[in-house]
Amino acid sequence: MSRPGFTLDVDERTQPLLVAQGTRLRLERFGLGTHVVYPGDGRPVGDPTPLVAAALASPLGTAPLAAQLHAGMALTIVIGDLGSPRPRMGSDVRRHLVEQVLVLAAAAGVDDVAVLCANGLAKRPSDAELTDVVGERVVRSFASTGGLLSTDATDPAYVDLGVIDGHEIRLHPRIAASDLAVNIVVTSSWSTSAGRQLVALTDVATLDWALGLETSSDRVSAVIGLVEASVATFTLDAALGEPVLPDAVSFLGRREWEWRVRDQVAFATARQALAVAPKQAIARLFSDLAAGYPVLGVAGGARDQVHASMSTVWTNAVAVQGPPASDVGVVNVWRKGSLHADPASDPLGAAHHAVAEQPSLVEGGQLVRPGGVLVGFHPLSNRFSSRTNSVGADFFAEVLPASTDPTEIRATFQDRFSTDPWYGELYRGRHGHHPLLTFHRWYATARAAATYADVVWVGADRRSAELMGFRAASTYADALEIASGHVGRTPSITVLHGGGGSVVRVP
Amino acid sequence: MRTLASWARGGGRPGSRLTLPTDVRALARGWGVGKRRVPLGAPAQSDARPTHVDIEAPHARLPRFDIDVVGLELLAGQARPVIVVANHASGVDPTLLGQVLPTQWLVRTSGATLALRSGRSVLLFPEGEPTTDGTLGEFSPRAAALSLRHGVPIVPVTIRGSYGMDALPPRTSSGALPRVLVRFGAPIEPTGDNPDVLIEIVRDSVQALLTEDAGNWYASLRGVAEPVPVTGWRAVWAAQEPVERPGSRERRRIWGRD
Repeated sequence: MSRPGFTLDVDERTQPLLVAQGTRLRLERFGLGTHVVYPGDGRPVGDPTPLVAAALASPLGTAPLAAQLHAGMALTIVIGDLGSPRPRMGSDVRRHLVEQVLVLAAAAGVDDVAVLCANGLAKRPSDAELTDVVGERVVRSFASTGGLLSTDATDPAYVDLGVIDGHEIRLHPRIAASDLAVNIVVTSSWSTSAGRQLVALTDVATLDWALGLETSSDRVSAVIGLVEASVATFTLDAALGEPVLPDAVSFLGRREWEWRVRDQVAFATARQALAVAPKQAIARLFSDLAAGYPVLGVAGGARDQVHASMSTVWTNAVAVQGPPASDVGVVNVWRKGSLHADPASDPLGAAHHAVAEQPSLVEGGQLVRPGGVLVGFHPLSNRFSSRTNSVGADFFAEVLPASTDPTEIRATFQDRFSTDPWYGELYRGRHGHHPLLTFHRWYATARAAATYADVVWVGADRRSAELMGFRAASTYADALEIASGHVGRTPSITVLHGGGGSVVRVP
Repeated sequence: MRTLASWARGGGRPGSRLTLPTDVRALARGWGVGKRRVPLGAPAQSDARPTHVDIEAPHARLPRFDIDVVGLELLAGQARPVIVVANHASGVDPTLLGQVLPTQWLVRTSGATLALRSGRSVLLFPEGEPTTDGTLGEFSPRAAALSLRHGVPIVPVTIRGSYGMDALPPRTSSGALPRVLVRFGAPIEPTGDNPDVLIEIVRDSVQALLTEDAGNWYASLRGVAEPVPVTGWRAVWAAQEPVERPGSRERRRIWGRD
């Protein structure tokens, strides 16, 4: 039985604690009384095969998958959100999920099978990325026959599904022509779900309507309902626990007072190596980093029942009892925080992760009280992947100097960017993100940032912080000095240790 | 356009490029003798702390081979020792497999009984000698008998691309190394009490992996894959067919369809 997470109240005995700042690491001494929320320990990684078999044979709310498969049918297996979780899974559980579905399909004599990656507005995956997720067997089986697909939300071949509030909803043609879609997801956060994956099968206009500036749960639910009304679906969902990191970097997930000599050596060595290594080598190091993820449970069947079941399993496994809403929240960014694997690049991604995603992993209340201050650790260097995120670079250079206001940005820039032929070419054929993804993420960041009196970044590029409407401080103490103007000189402080990923239960 | 604050420049610079001396001092201050104090309220340290062993070894590169490994994910969570059973394509197979098998298995190729008793895994080639005609030979039931006696699973493995090599290929400066593909199958648990029956199951599994390797996995599941030639010169020819890169969309073919 692994230890659950807990909240440490910093006292005189507490050592300096590990803080990740993009690709940099540092030890930071936090003030007395600071609440530090630690995630639970990782669990042993077992063989998920029996769990998957049981979920397929005894689904929730539907007949077993084998009974829904028959010769002559068109079967589509939908995967998505290939960028989650981070660090990537050393052995991706989606391989087991997809392969067991295909074993049943082969036994039933299904010949018309396609594996479809529902990437929505995110970049279309390369064969190598697909191989990492679903395995060589699946890729080789379907790549040469044209059965390995990824969605292109700008494709005019999308078919009309219906109208919601006067808006036309259009669906990927392969899904529309399928007799059954098996929707495969992993639950490792609240941002990924089987429903969201169905929305990612719609066209770019629908995605903007459902997830853009005026996004609402009603719109998302309406799109999901329309998709489910048009095609039979079977959801297969695996909930993942806290990652277990490789030995060389296991100190990142270890509580500081339990550091052995080898952890101290690993920390000092990693810091020295990160200080002198070229940026490309560091980016490679982080993109290659793989962790083991224990499978907490697998459920199959009707989407709503499966989602409820796996969300509960996941939340109960990773939840940590936290303090009441604080005046100041402190987050650091390393596990995620960019649209690709390099956490040092992409200040927009870092801001989205720190401001919109991490503090939202809270149950029962808020991490920081309205009007409080959020402190983030990240260099916010003006670096973007020119291959996958040139839109981000242009957004940073052209849009943010004009305005940070989502409504103004929507009115002035969004249409021009989303119809730009070069960005379209990058998305369709060169594994780049669709421009709208950058816009949608900024809207979410700006919405979340508006709930704080200030967002202060420690050790950040001052111009980057200013461009995004945030503030930069040289040290953590300076950040608290800036915050004191809003929260006084004795604020309550909550630190999320380890780069987020836990659900904080706030009383 | 917004007017940015005049001081909004700089910062975000990398710190010192020499961090080691500072860190050693900081660690000595915080973690030195008598200073590792557990904070009040912190849960006790767990003895059974899992560590992640990355079993992936894709596209490992030996000095004289261009080698790809697929199917290791099927062994996720396999904590027990196993008996690795492989086809014997050439004399270099033990060297090849020794490089790509998960290091934590501590595989032995001799002293099988002793190795399994001490928790080590074993690598066996039940055909005995490397194949001379490219086909899969008869399997000795020894691996199955060991599996039944010790209650450990058998992991089927196939090697393609090394056929006919009696010794390691010479070093080359052109970068064109012989391509070899090692494919792992799902572990087979010991069932029943007859080694002859179990070894046939294992042999069928190795043959299925060879068929899957020459064609594709789903076609072999559906039973519509082209069979690997098992007799005559066509078998020898097929055994020498160049191995493709895993996940490749292209299919290079020596044999055209009729």
